[in-house]
Amino acid sequence: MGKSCKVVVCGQASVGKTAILEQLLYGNHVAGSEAMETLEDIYIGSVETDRGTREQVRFYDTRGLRDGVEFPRHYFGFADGFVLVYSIDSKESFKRMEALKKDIDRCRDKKEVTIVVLGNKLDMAEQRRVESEAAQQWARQEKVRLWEVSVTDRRSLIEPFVHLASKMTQPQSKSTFPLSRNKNKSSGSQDS
Amino acid sequence: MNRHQDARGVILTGYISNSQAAFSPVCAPAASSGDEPEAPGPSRKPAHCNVQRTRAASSGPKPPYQRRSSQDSLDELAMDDYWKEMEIIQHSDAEPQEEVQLKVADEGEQEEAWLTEAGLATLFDESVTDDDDGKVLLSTLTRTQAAAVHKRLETLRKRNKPHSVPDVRDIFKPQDTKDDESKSRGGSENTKKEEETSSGNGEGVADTETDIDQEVSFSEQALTYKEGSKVTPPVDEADDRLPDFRVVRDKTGMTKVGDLSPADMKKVHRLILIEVSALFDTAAIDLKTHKPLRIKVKESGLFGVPLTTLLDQDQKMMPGTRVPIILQRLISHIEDEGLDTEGILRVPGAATRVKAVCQELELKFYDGLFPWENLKQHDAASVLKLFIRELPHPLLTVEYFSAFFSVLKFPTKKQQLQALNLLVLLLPASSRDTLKALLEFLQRVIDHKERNKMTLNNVAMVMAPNIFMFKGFRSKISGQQEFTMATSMANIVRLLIRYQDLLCTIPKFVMTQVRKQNMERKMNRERAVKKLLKKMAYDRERNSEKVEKNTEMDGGIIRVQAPQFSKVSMAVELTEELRASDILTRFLSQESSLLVKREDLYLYEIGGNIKERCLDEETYMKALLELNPTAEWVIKSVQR
Repeated sequence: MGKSCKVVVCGQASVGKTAILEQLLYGNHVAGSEAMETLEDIYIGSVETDRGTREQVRFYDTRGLRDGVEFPRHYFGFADGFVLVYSIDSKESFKRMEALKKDIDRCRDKKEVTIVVLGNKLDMAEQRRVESEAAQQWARQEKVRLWEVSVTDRRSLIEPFVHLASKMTQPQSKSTFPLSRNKNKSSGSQDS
Repeated sequence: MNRHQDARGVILTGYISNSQAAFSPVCAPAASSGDEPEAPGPSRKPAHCNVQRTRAASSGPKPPYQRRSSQDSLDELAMDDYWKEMEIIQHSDAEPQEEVQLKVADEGEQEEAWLTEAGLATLFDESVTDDDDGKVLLSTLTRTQAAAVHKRLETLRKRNKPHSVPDVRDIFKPQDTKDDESKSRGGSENTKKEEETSSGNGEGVADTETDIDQEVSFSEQALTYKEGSKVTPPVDEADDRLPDFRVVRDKTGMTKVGDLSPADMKKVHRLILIEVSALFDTAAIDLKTHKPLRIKVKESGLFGVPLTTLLDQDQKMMPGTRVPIILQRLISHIEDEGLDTEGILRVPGAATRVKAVCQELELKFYDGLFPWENLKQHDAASVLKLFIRELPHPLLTVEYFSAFFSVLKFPTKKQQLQALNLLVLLLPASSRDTLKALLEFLQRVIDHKERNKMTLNNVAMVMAPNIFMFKGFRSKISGQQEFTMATSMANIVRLLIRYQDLLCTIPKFVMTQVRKQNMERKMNRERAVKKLLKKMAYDRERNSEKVEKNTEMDGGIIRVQAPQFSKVSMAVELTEELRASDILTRFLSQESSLLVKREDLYLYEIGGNIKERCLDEETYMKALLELNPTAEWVIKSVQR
């Protein structure tokens, strides 16, 4: 338990953060089912890396952002990785994701964090508001990987998370653990 | 299982006449010849008349409690089931029985044992080391509870003058003021109607002791006594209607036996012991406790083995077993055959077959070789009853055997139930769990009464002698005494079955006292820690802790943990209506790949002022959080 990576999943409200996690971990999410607002749920999953090892990852499913709801700062302290989620049918959610990325860059100090971006709801392409090319352009600029995914297609979720797990567990990032340990304690979680 | 040779013939005649009677209730009195066991009689006639006379005589001047209202009484015809069952029992136990003396402990000795059991041995024995438990316990007692301790100490002091038993005034002086305080505080928290009376009594000390006891000690017990229950209902109503005592739902959830950790159960046990004594004291009813039986018992096997031995044996095979496997298996066998069978439990199995089955079970049960498919339902029911009555220590324990009888001396049904509630909780875990399993089964039988014709009364009649007449005891009573006892026994069994849920609930006021004790102890510990640590550093630490807790609290958010699962934590926003069941439902809705069943999932309250408590589904989380702000919340999957 002690050395699992901590991944924070964040983004605007109802872009499908919980759905992504549930589909990834259990493969049982039904697209279009009624959204339940998350406050903060924590999952433990094990993800295979491209080196063939399995890594235990703690996923922090956070509360969806909306006007007036700020992203809680304490996450920046202990996260080893972020999954930023937007929905391709909402420009607003993309903007919010952009802002989050800036926040992370500002707050992470010198700490190494891995960020992946997911454009969810690919199955609703006919209502697309965020152009795929523009999004990828932005991602290249920011030096992050971006995938467009759909929770209806579990396979589309695998690659981003394998990439995330592989990057996070590269040997050099280990130096951050003692720090994250302390912070984690104060967040009230019972792990480590 | 050796039956006496000469009794054999009697078994057979008895059995035949009896089975005939079972089919024709009109001629049922003929079956009662068996209750004169000392004189089986050269002819059946005189014995029969004898019984009739006894009955006629005793039906006149009955003790008042037996006929409080017609719905509570058991009519003559129904009693026949009881006598029939007695007869069967007597025939099946033809072997000579060891005389068992129920001894009442000597004065002084009894008090010492009482105080020791209540965890207050330090009060009379200075050699006992005590980690402040006793003091903490005393400080949480209500006035009547304190009086009960007081009374026993006083008796002890009078007897052992040379002994240096401290004066009770020294013990209770500082606590008295505290009691008032806590009592009034308890009263204000308490939302029940009784509150008015209780606080009224607190001020006007002139009230009699009994009043105070009833209102204060039970003011938090979630029972409402329906005034209407005193009204006599129409006679043609089913005779097994008992008043529908309703459990007033408490927002912080009901606590059932088994919901608490052993450490807290020990505290509950001590409090209940004091409380039950207080209750009996104030009602001026003598609570006779008997010395434990010292008899030779079988150390292995199935029948005639003490429950504890049996459970030790079973736990080696199936860890966590709380009810003897043989009993569980018998119950499930009877249920598998269907509970619609008419006269189930009442119709006896064939005596010879039952005997053979018992022997075979002894040999083959634990090897799993017993041919259950051949066991007939009525035979299984007979074996079940035999198992219960062959227990060397009665199910309701020797210690509290008479106390269970005394319950009926309480003037109101409500008080009877309260007393019964405390007594059930006082039983050792092995007896209580077994009794609970048995009562649940009996209720399921009654649930099928439309088909199996076994009403609450019928079942109570049949089971009463099996539950109460433990080996060796039944040979000692007869005639008039037996008649009175029969009615009482059946009545108590009726209450046990009818109100089993209620009786297995730990009263709220006891829980409150346990929480108080835990808080007190925690504070004592913290005080000690404070001495050790540098005060400054300690305070700083505490403050930072506090701030953090508060931010969480203000948002009305609790964090529910589930270390067993892949979703290990879940933050939940509390609303007034949010119940424990909602949290479980929500947890499961997301964690649906799990193999756990919803029924096996429980939310626990851990830490703070309780060690661990399994929450009732109906617990309102917000109310409970106020009661125990520092608790942690954990979802576990448990097979219960």
